[in-house]
Amino acid sequence: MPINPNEKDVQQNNTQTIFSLLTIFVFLSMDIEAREPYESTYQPRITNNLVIKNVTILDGKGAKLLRTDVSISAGEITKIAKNIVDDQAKIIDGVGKWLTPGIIDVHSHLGVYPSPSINATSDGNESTSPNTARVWAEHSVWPQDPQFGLALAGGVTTLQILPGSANLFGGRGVTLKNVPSRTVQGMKFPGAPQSLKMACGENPKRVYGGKSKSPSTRMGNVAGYRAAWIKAKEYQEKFNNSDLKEEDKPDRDLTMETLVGVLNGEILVHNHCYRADEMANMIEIAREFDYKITAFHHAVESYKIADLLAEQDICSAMWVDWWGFKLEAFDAIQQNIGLVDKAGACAIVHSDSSRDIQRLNQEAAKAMSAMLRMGKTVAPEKAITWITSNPAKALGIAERTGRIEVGYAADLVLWNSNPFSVYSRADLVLIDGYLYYDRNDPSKQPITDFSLGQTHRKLSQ
Amino acid sequence: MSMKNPYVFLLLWTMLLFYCVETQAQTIVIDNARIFPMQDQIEVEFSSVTLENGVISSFSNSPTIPPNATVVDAMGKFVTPGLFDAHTQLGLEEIDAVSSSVHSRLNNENIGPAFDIQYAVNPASTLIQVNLVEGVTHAVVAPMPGSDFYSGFGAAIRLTNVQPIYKPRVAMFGAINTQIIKKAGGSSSEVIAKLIRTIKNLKQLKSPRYQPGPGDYSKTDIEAIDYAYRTRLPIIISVNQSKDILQLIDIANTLKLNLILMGGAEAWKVANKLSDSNIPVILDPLNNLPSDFDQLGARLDNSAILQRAGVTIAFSDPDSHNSRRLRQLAGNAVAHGLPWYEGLKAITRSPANIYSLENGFLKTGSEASLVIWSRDPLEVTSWPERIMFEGQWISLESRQTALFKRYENLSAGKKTGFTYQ
Repeated sequence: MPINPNEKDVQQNNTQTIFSLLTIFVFLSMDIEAREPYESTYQPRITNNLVIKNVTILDGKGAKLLRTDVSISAGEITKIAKNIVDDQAKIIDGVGKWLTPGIIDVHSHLGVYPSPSINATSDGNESTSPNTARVWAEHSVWPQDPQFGLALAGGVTTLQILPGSANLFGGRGVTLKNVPSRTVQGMKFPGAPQSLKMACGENPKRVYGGKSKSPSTRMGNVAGYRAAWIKAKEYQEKFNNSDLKEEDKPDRDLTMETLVGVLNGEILVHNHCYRADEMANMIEIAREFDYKITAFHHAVESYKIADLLAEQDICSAMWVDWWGFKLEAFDAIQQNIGLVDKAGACAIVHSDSSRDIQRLNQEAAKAMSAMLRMGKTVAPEKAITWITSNPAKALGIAERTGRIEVGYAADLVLWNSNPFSVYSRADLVLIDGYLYYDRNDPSKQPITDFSLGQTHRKLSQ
Repeated sequence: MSMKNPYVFLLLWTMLLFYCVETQAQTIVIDNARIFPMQDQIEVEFSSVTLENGVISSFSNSPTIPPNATVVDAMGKFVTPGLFDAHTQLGLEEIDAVSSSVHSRLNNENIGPAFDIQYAVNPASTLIQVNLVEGVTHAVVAPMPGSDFYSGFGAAIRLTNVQPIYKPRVAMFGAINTQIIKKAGGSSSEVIAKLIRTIKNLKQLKSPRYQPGPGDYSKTDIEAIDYAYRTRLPIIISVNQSKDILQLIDIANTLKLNLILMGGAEAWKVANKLSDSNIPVILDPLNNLPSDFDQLGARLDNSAILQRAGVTIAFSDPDSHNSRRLRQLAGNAVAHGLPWYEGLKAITRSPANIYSLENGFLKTGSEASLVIWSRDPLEVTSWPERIMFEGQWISLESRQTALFKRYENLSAGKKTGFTYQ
């Protein structure tokens, strides 16, 4: 700046300064995008207060309440009691009906393996390298997948979309609210942690062994995980090392960011693993690198190590009756879920199927019956936790949803009868208190763009 | 082992019965039951059935109980014929991913109609055992589709580990799907046209002058197609899209084929035509996904619409490992509008009618294969309490119950059956 500015320069400088200040002021007051890139844009839709009256409740906490009322306001459950009076509220008659928390599926490929299932939409497995921790399943999600609406009709309000299991590290999974949306950001469950999909066993070694690459054996699988975690630890140390100058710190690396996220406890590990001995190996690896396995998926043999899983506080996401499609699924028993639960471990029923996601209540019913058949009691109020509060715990959203409790999100399903019956149908499905699905109102049965105009497609009768 | 364990009780009871059968003529009366024999054309229920040495002698609502008869008090429970899965690969596969254990298809592109699965059905298959103890007593075993419209011959089996096949060449199977359309050149039109040509030209194709070139049906193929045509063998075609179904209905009528559809995701759209032409449909009632462009119209009330129009329907689970899910399939079809009795029929009697077989229903003079269910058999919370297979009560043990027993006490902090760490 010149020592002796003349009058014109001073005037110009003042104008520039005022102009800059004004711009900054306008910019700040517009409140643009404090939102991080990729963060959820989901906004609950607010409606009138609701009271569901005289309904049988399975609350997801292990209790069954008869002829009780539930009131909902601003998207939350505000009261659970008999004879609630609220003149402002819309009353929903629950006589003869059952109310459960919205169903949560922890293992789904809706959107990434959508209908129609063709090459152009097959986006679930980046099977080009055993370690693709850098990819995020949410970037493959097609929100117009017709399967979302079908799952909603089955009472599913929250679901985790995962990469497939071709790779040792498949990529980040995402938890979504099952709401119609033009974008995946509009479905993302606000504040839910992301997950890292890992896979052990036959799949990675078949995919890469078949290309004459590593891994081609189970020992190759394990060496693959360990090598990756070693790198991640180094990266984490360098990144956190305050003695390093900025220019000596490592470059951004998407793969490392995911793995370090796990080491930092921010990203939850969901590990596809069928065999008991392999689950034990994965636990050892987690101990070596000091991270937590949140859940094993397709945990067909969890019943064989139910004690170990209880001790380690690792959830098991299981099927009730799928078996025999791979050797690692040969030892499946229908009492798997029940036995894991009895051992005090977190038991979850998952689908990994766009077909069975529509009937997770029936899958849980079969699991409950399989135990009863063997003389072991399981109450319905316990079985419901396998598809509500336990999955919520595995997804890191147990404080928000998965239960009928005051202060929780009004993610609810009103069934026309006991949900553990093959004849039971979801009458109403609410997410954050908004009625997204009404079986008796065709205008409240969301269909995606793909199905629009195809007059032969009706979601429900 | 506790006496409260129903399986100990059942085992001892079975042993006792076995002893009795060995030593003298045995009359059993199952009484106080809801027995659905699934007789043809009429919907009827009885409260009791009498069996002499495992053969049904009478149904009654007020039975006369002979003095030395064993009475089984069914306590109001449902009794049905053993379930019949209309389309499976039972006995042809153990583990899908282990190709050496799968014998349901050929990799040879040159073989289609002449493929016959009867020589590969494995009586020792775990799939047979696992599904038998869940009440599935009979099934039709079919080849998987290959590259040709025709897939080959299937067989009818009893789910037993001694000579399961009781009717080889029970039907000819075929399909119209992406792979088959591709092999034909890329259009379903050519698949249909080739079928019409072949049937119409059978006389010339059977003559000694026929010299098949590359891509033509071999003489063995022609023999197989001709056999199926001549004997009016049931021809089961896997097809979903209504455009293809309409073509097949036309061919069935003009060329006089004994056509049955398999899959039929869009069959509901042409239900009346199927009914008029007496074409049954074997389907998976839970298929409601628009998973490909040939089944954009898939819906959960497909079977209800078909049955209302007068079409014979039977159910089949796409996964033979879980043929036992038949009841859940039927229950869901009922939840979406199918009458309950029709749901039960679709997993018992209908397959018998489609294939002209004598199983899937109970009739006097025949050895009984029946199940006493804990409650409504179509309910997911129901299970088989007792199963009689060809006149004998059978064990409900399987590999899966053995695994359960080995590990069941782990949750109670007790050591497992073997000494495992």
